[in-house]
Amino acid sequence: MLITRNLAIERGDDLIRSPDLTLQAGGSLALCGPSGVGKTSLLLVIAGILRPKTGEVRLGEQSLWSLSDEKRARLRGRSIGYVFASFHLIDALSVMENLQLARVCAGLPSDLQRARYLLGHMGLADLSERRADRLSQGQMQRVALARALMNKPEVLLCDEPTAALDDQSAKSLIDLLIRSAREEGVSLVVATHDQRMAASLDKTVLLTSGRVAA
Amino acid sequence: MNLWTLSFKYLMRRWGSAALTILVGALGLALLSTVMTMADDIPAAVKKSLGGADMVVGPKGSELDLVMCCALHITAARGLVPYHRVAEAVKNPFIKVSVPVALGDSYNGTRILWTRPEILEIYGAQLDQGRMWSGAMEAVVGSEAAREQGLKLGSVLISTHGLDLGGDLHQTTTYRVVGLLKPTGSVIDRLILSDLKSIQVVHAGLDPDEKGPDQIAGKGYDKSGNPLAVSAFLARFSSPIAAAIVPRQISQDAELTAANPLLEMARLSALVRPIFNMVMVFGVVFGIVAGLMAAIGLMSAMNNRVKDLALLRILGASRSLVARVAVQEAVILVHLAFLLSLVLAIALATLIGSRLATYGLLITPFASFQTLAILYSGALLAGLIASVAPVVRAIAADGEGVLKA
Repeated sequence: MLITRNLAIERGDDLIRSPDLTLQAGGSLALCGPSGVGKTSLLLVIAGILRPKTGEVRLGEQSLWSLSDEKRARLRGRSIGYVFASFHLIDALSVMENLQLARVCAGLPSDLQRARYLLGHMGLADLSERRADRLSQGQMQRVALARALMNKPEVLLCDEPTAALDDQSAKSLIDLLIRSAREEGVSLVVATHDQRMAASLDKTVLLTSGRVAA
Repeated sequence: MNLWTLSFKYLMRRWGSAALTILVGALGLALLSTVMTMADDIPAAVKKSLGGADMVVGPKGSELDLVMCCALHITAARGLVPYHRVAEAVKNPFIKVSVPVALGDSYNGTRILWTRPEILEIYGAQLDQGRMWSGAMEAVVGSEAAREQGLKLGSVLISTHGLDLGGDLHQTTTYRVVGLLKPTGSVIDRLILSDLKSIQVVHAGLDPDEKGPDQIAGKGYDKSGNPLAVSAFLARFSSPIAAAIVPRQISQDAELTAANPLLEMARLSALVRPIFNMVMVFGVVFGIVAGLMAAIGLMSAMNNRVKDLALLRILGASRSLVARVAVQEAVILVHLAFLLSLVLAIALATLIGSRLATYGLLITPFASFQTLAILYSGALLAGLIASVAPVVRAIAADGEGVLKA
């Protein structure tokens, strides 16, 4: 279960207040709102990357921001998957190596079987040895999704996952994302402008300008 | 897939600058390795080549010249010295054995040394086949000379005037090989030995069958049958303390110079040490340049892939794990440079070794374990120092700013 309470996020001279969120295991949630409202910042706080000014993020029994930097990184590697708008694959590595990198960074042993399963699931079985920078954008985002799921996370955070995709690829990715999250039993939080995406998730939280003076 | 794979693949992404860094680093290490090896091996090779010759006594002049000419047989003969004068000078209780040597002829570039059978004592040499000479124009051949010239027992050879190839042949006289020596590792292996009486047989038409002092007196020999002049005397001391006393005593004679070969070689080493040092400085400069190139290359690479490093953090990598990526790249560079330097150093030492071998100085092209350990440690340290700034850059890469951009 993912819970956020009383989060206030400092951004420049502004302080952004986030609504409290509660997401049951396997549930899904869309974070919607205009650009600059703080969707990405909220995802980064939930991921344990951006420290909030105040408030708490709980992942199960664990309070994320009470952990040391290293322990939080370890928890993030093992329990949180992150999909970015611009994929952030490592160009120097093959598709398979990009997936295995998630295991290495989390301090887990290599798991070829899991990687092959995910690549098959994403329709990328034939591309496992191709270098990441030689994929189409749609393929890159599917690899990024497979990488985020590689360590069987409890929570999958997606930041505008369809933003860089054409309409057809975006539709295909939404289906794949929802199906994968359901099959993996992972809680899904998606920051999105895409109404189709938002409509496919269990609930939607609309972020409005919650800025107050810092 | 592990972090080494990641580091290596990152390195391959900038293979041009990586290859240049490796090449410069390898050149530096190879220079250092070769100089360090030579600094150890050449004095040892010289010492071995000298055999047991503790002193050379020859005409007045440079001690080093005398050693190079008559003990190491590298340079040309430098004049003659009256036999009886040296023979008197070496009558000393500190001298265990002394033997006259004369040179001036050769066979296909191999020197012919006119001497006495006691020369074997100086070099600790032993006959392998045949016997020692019993008169003029009989030759005993060192192992390396026999191999190079294809000489066997019974072989007949015509000598050439002078020590270099292309001199006039002494066509009217021939030497016959009567003995072959076992290898000693010293300069005697590369010489053809013959009796002192052969000098006048070859050069003045003395009958080789005239053996008695009475028969040869006045024909370039004194009443005792000794030659009137020789190139030098080689001597072996009976006590190490003699090295400090005897050469100085003999050198007081206005016509004689006595040289301690080991001392002269030490002086020569001191003379060439600045050259060695300069080459070593070049090696160190190459190493520093390679280190800087590695540091700049790594720093630039870290800047270029700051998003990748941030991504590693988001994927759960600890700061130390991210730092390892940068360190490992430096470590890979160091190891590739070190491996290449081994090949370059062996090639360089082989080249120098082949040149030195013509002077009978045998060196190994392989650096000692100690030298390799020093160079490896130094290179690794330089690599680690070069990776400090990139590591700091890598550790500073955090997810937020980069991924929000």
